[in-house]
Amino acid sequence: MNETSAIKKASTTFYKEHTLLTSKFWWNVVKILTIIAPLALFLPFVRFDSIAGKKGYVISGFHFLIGTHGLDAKFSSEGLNPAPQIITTAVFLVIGLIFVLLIRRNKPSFLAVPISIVIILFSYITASMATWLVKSGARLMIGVQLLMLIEFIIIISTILAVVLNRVSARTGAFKSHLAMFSMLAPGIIYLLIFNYLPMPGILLAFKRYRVFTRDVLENFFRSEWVALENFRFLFSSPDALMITRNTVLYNITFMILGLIASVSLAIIISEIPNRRLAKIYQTTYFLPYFLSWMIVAYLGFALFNYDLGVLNNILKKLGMEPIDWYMEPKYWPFIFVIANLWKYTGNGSIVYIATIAGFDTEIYEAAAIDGANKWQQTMYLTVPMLVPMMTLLTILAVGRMFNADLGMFLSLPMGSGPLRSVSNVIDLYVFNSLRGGSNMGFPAAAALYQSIVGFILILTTNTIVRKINPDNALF
Amino acid sequence: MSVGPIAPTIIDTKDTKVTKRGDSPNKLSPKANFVLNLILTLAMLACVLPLVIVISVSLSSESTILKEGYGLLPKDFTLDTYKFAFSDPRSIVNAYKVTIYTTIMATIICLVNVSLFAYPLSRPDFKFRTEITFFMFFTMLFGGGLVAYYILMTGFLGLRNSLWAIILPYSFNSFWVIVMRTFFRTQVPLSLIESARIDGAGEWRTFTQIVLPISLPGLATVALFTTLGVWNDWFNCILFIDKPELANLNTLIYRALTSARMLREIIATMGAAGSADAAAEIANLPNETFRMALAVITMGPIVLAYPFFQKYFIRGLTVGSIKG
Repeated sequence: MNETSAIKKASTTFYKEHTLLTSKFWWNVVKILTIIAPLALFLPFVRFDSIAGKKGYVISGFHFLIGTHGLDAKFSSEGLNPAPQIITTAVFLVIGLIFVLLIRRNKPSFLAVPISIVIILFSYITASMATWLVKSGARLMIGVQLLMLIEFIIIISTILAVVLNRVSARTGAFKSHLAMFSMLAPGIIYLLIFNYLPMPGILLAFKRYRVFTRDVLENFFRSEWVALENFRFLFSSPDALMITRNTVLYNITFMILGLIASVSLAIIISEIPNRRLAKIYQTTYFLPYFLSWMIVAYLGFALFNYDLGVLNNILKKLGMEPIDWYMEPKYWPFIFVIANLWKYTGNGSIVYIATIAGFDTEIYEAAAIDGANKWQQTMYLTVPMLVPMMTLLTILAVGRMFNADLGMFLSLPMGSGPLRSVSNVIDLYVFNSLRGGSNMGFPAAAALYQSIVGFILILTTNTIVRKINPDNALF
Repeated sequence: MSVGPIAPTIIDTKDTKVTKRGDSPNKLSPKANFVLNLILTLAMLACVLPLVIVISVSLSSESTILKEGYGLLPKDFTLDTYKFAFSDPRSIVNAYKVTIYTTIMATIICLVNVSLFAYPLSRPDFKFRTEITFFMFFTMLFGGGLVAYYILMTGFLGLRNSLWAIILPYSFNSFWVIVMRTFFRTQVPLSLIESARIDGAGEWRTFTQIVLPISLPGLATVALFTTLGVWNDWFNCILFIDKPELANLNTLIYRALTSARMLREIIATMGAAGSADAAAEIANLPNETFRMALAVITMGPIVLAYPFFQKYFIRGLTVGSIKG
C-alpha cells in the first residue's frame, strides 16, 4: 500500500467518524432547510384569542399572502398591516430557494455569501414581524417559531460550512481558527450592532418617522411611507442649497489650503538644519490638534468678544471702530478657514515629515552635484515624491466632502443667529434637527443624501486614481 | 473590491535622515535659513498666543479685565478666580469625574476590542482575513447616518442619560484595528508565534503572553488616541445626556459658553449660595475670568501631558496613513 492511498483511507475513515466536522454535511443542512422553509408559510402563523367577533381565530402566512385573512378593517384602523412584511419574507424565501437550486456542487461556493445576506435580512424582517404581531394582540404559533428556528440554524450552518470548507478539520487549523474567531467575536458583535444594524435606518428617509411606543422597530414599521416627500421638502427649502453649498465649498477650501499648508510646512521643517529647533516647531504645531473645538471656541471668544476681545482692543488702539464679530457673517468664512488651518495643519504635516524623512538623501546629493538649487530640489524631487501620500489623503478627504467638521461649525460661532447663513452645514443641520426632534424623516433624508453622495464620491475618486496609477488607489 | 496588502514598513520618525542632509554640502543658505525660521516662529506664535490669552485672562482680576479688556499678559495678576473655582468646585469636580470615568472605561474596552480584532487579521495563516477585513472596511465607507445612530442609541439600546452613551461609541475603532494589524504584522515576528505553538501554547495563550507584551508601543498609541477622543468628546454627551450631573468637561464648557445663564448656574453652585447677601455677591462674581479659568481647567491635563506622549501620537498618524 503506497503512502497516498493510506492518507486517502485515513481521511475517509476520519470523515466517516466525524460527519459533523465536514463542510459537506453543513452545506446539505443549509440546502434542505432553505427548501423546507417556504413550507412554514402554510403552517398556522398567529392566533387571535378573540377578534372581530370570532374566537380562536388562526391565520397562516399564506392567508396574509393572498389577502384572505379577513382582518383588513382591524389592521387599517390600527395602521399596522403585517402583510407587507410577510410578503417580503416570502420573497426572500423564494430568492433563497432559487440560490439553492442554482447550486450544483456539494461545497459552499461563492453563492454562500448572497445566501447568508438574504437569510440575515430575512430573519431581521421575520423577527420584527413577530414582535409586531405580538403587539397587535396575537399569539405566535408554530409557523413563525419554526421559521425563526430554521433561519437561525441556516445562519449557523452556512458559517460552519464555509469555515470548514476553507479550514480542514483534520489539521489543528480548525481549532486555531476557532480561537481566532473567539478573538474576533467582540469586534464582530460591535460592528453588527453599531454599524450594520443602523444601515437599514437609511430607509427612514422615505418615511415620516413617528414615535408610537418605546419599541424602535415597531415605530419604524408603523410610520407611514412618504416616498420622496422628505427629499422634496428638503430640496424645495432654501436650506438645502445653503447647507450643501456651505459644506462643499468649505471642504474644498479646507482640502486645498490644508494640503498646501501641510506639505509646505513639512518641507520647511525638514529643511531646517537645527534639528532640535525643528522638533520644537513640530511639537508646537501639533498642540491645537489636542484641543477640542469647545476649547477653541473659548480661544475664539477671547479674540472676537465685542467688549473685551483682543482683536477689538487692537482696533480701538489703532483708532478704528470695533467690529461686532459675532454679528457679521462676512468675516466668518475666513475665520472658519483660518481656524481649520490652525487646528489641523500641524497634525497634517506629520505624515509628510515622516515620508520626507524616509527619502533617500543620495538623490538630493546627486541633484546638488548636477547643479539643482534647494528650490529646484523641492519642486522636482520632494514634491513629486510626496504625490502618492498626497493622493491617498486627498481621496479620503474627497470621500468626506459632504461631511462637515461639526464641532467647528457648532461651537465657534457660539450659536449666533446672524451667522447661520455662513455656518450652517449638513452635519449641523442634522444635529440641530435631531435635538429639536420632531420629524426624524427630514434629517434622515439629509443624512442619506450625505451618506450616498459621500460613498459615490469616494468610489469615483478611487476609480479615477486607480485608472491613472493603481499604486496610489486606496483599494 | 479587495483590501490591498499593507506595505511592510513603519516610518520611524525618531531619528530621521534629515539630520544627515543638514550635514551634507547641500546646505541651506544662512539667509534662507533665517527667513524659514522666521516663518516657522510666527506660525508657532499663532499656535500658542490664543492659549496664552486665555490663561492670562484667567489669572487677571475681574475688575481690571472689565475695564481694559483681554490682553496677552495677566492684568493685576491674581489667583482669585482659581481660589474661587476650587472653593466649592462641585460641578467642575463632577464633570472631571464623569470625564475620567468614561475615558478610562472606553480606553480599556477599546484596547481589548481593537487588539483582539487586529491580531487574527495580522496572521497570514488566518484564512478569513480578506472577508473579515472587508466586513470591517465596509463600515468605514458606508453607514446608516446620524439619525439611525441616534435611534439605535436612544431607542434600541436605551442609552439616554447613561454614561455608556459616551463609552460605547469609542469602544471599537476600525481605523485603529488597521493600525494595530500593521503593527502586529511588522513588529511581531511570525517565527515567535510559531515557536510558541511548537512549545504547545494555544492561540489565546500565545496572544496574551507573547504577542501583547512585545506590542506595548502599538497599544500605547491606540490607548492615547482613544483617551484623547473620549476626553474631548462633546458630541455624544450633548446628544444623549440631558442630566447636568452627567455632563463631561467639554459639554460643561460648551453649555457655559453658549448660555450665560448656565455659566451663572455653575458659579451659583459655588460658595455664594449660602451667604446672606447672595445677590450682591453674584453681582461681584468673576464672570469673565471664571469663564476662561473653566477653559484652562478643562484643557490643562491635555496640554501638560501631550508633549510626553507625542511620539506615540506621531506613530499612530504615520502608521495609519500607510495604505490599508
